[in-house]
Amino acid sequence: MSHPETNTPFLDGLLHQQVVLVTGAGQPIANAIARRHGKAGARLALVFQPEHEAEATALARELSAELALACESSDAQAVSTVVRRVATELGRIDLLINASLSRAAGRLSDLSAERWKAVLDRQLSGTAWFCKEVIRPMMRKRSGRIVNLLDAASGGASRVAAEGITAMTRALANEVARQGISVNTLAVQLLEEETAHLTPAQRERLDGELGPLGRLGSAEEVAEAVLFLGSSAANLTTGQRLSATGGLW
Amino acid sequence: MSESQATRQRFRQQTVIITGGSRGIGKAIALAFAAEGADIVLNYGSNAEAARQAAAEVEAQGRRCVLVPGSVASPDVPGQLREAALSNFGRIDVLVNNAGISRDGHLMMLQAAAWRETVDVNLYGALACCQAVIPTMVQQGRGAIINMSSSAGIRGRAGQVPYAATKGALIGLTQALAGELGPNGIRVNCVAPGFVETEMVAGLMNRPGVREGFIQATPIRRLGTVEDVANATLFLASPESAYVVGDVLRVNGGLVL
Repeated sequence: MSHPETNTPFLDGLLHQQVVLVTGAGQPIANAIARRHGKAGARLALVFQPEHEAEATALARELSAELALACESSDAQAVSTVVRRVATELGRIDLLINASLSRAAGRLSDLSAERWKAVLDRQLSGTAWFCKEVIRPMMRKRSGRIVNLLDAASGGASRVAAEGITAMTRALANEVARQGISVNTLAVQLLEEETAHLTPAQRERLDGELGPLGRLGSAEEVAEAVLFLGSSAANLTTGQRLSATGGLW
Repeated sequence: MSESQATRQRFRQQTVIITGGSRGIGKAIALAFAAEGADIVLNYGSNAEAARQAAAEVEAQGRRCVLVPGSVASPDVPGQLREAALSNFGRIDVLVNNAGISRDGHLMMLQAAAWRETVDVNLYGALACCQAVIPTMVQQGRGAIINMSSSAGIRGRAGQVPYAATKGALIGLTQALAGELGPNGIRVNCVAPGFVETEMVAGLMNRPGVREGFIQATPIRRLGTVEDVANATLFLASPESAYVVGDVLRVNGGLVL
């Protein structure tokens, strides 16, 4: 399926020299976000889950990222170490984009405790650890933006994480607004890039459930919405949940 | 509670499991269900004296009450709740996931252990209790689960990030489970109380000006009572809410509009 050309309303060099930390590198959504922010002039620090090292390293090379660091996001100490390193080596962190989405479908009623914890520890707790660690460097210069992506597609444990991130974002926005830090969420539905593995039958079923827009979005389109929330165009926007879901919840 | 409500018997011969039920909102819910005919399985964390007192008050209403101690986050407790209900009463009609803790403070200063404790009790504990009772409710072809969220889960305040995260996540859990279990005749909903006077918030409420501030922030100009929350919980467990599924009932005096 083809997508309409994304005609960006954002200026070239929008994020000139700004340090942008993107998590989830090596996965399609985070990759598109990193590319878009690199194109907008940002200095990139890419953080990836250990299992995505090969893809993330290739992306870092492609984008001339200043740092590419492995980090198990469910490990609070590991997140602290990585964020400190970014702040120290690049001197600042202007924008944190928590983009490490894993589509973890499956019924909650019989989900194993191990699986459930694995999803929640990475998606909910991992998001919290990154937010926690960037507050100090952002407070130092009294400005900063955080964009937390959430999975609006998968249901089950991912839905639990999504609503948790939404509520956490609102509370945190209240906490840090006076320090010049904004925090928002971006809800993301299933994207075209993520459907390559579907069987024809699964694809046909999916095509029957596309929602108001009648097509899946692309990671590039999600990246434009992230760019909005991470830019001064969103100066008055904090604690909010923006949906880039083609009209679906 | 008014006399007409107290004499209703919407839960006669039903079994209700309530976690975190020795004090505060949980205890009020237990007493309200007992007043309408239900037998109670009451879980409590650590205050055995308060739990015995709550059980005595249930029994004073002519109903039975079985106590199950321990944190809902410990691996054995959810199964013990199910077994206590089935061995004593032979069925499980309602589960109220009320157990919850709050570790307030700024996120920047948050200790990993405090976050994990909050997530374990408020979120993992609630899911584990749901999973423990679901097979029985599926077999019965009916059941109601009510999760205790909070205004913080809808619009969290500064200093409440872990609490808000878990209470928001409980709303997601409620919606996901409601979708999964609806076909089995099991309804899952949650209650989101505002400022309610309980021991959990007594420390906060006693600080100068805080109580008055909360009252001023609440359009109906009073704090919530534990009975206000119990009434809403009973509604969501009763046939009067038969078509209410996966919803969040705000019991907050208009605090979050």
